[in-house]
Amino acid sequence: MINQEFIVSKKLVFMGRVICIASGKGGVGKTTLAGNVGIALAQNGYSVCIVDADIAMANLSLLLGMQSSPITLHDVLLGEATINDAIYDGPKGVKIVPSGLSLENYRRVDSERLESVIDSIAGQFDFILLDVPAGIEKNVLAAISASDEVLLVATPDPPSIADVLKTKIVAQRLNRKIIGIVLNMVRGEKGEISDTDVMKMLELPVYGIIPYDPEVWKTFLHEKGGPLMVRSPNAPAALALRKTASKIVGAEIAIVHERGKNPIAGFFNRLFSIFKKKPKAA
Amino acid sequence: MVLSKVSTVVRKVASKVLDLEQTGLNEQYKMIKEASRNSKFELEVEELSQLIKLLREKHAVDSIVVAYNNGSLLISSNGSDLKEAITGTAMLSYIRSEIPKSESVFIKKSKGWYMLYPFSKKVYIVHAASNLHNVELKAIADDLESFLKKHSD
Repeated sequence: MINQEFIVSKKLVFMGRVICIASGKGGVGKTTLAGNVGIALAQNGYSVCIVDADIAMANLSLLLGMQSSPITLHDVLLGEATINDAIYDGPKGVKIVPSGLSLENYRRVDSERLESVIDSIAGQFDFILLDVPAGIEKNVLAAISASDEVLLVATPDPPSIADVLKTKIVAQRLNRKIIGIVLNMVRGEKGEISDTDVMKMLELPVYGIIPYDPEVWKTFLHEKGGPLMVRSPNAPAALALRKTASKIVGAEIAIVHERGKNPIAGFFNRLFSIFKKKPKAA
Repeated sequence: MVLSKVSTVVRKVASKVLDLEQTGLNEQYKMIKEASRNSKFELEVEELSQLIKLLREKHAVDSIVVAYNNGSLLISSNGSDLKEAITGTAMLSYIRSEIPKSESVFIKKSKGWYMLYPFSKKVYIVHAASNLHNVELKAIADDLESFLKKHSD
């Protein structure tokens, strides 16, 4: 049994915020951020729903091990199911609306319905996070339009920053509030764009600096996989993602002390378990 | 002058030897910063004619004509476009008579797109090089309707 202790010096009351996680460039970590920040918020006691709004290239369900969901956002946007039919329980109390993996259904889906679908559940949650596709095509526009706020994600290199700028412009055209930008996969190497320069270039606050962390890569591994926030909550990237979550909430600190999950103790437990007598199979 | 030259040389050698990072924005950064600055549009204007021109730039379209459902012109980014207003509303009216649930009309021309978007008892007639999504047309309409509401109160 893992005991968790959260120290939150301030908790504000919110009325259902719908935030989309968008970038421009693919592969910068939107899905990882949406999934793990959502879990972090849920661990802090907020009711959270994460919607995989990437209708064409759904990945959130893969990150969370929910690829076999019978009813997905595709069915909802086709008018064949209600959104409540497509809400599933995810890790640590978070709710998930997965997108379908079927290419056939993708062709039939009307992404413009997303806004009314999200509106119908906005009052049920403190936070709805939309994992938005890469690029600035129609499905991205529909997802941004379905949100109230936009959180941008980029890696600290010029192509990613240039692409996220385009997403920022698109969000501005749609009159959506851009709350900030998260810099992901930061290695601290020479040549990376610093957070100060990103703030100056994009005129946006930096909502998080997530270090490059090999633990993130293990998310999709079969046996050791699972979201970072559940599997390795003390990993550097996990701690940084929690800070991003706390910045979104407006709480000053979000610290997790997980008793019973000491990595050193865990090692000795696994070592000594080799010598423990295993029960005979029935 | 000699001292400043010496100081420049020493600084260059030091940055090479110590592998100091170059500070300050280089050309790429300046370009991104400028593009970010140029994307901001201040829509708090007094005149509708000013607003429509800003909306054309903000949404990167060739022209915006707004007409009432009866064909009368409200405003155009091209100055005066009575013919455009009448043609657009008539076309939309015909299409709706044949396809009653039409929400918007997109026509591909040899160069660019012609789009009709009905909203709030008006028709938004937009020309652009590439087709807009319905949410983008709605954003144009929202911007203009906000202005009209504010100035009618």
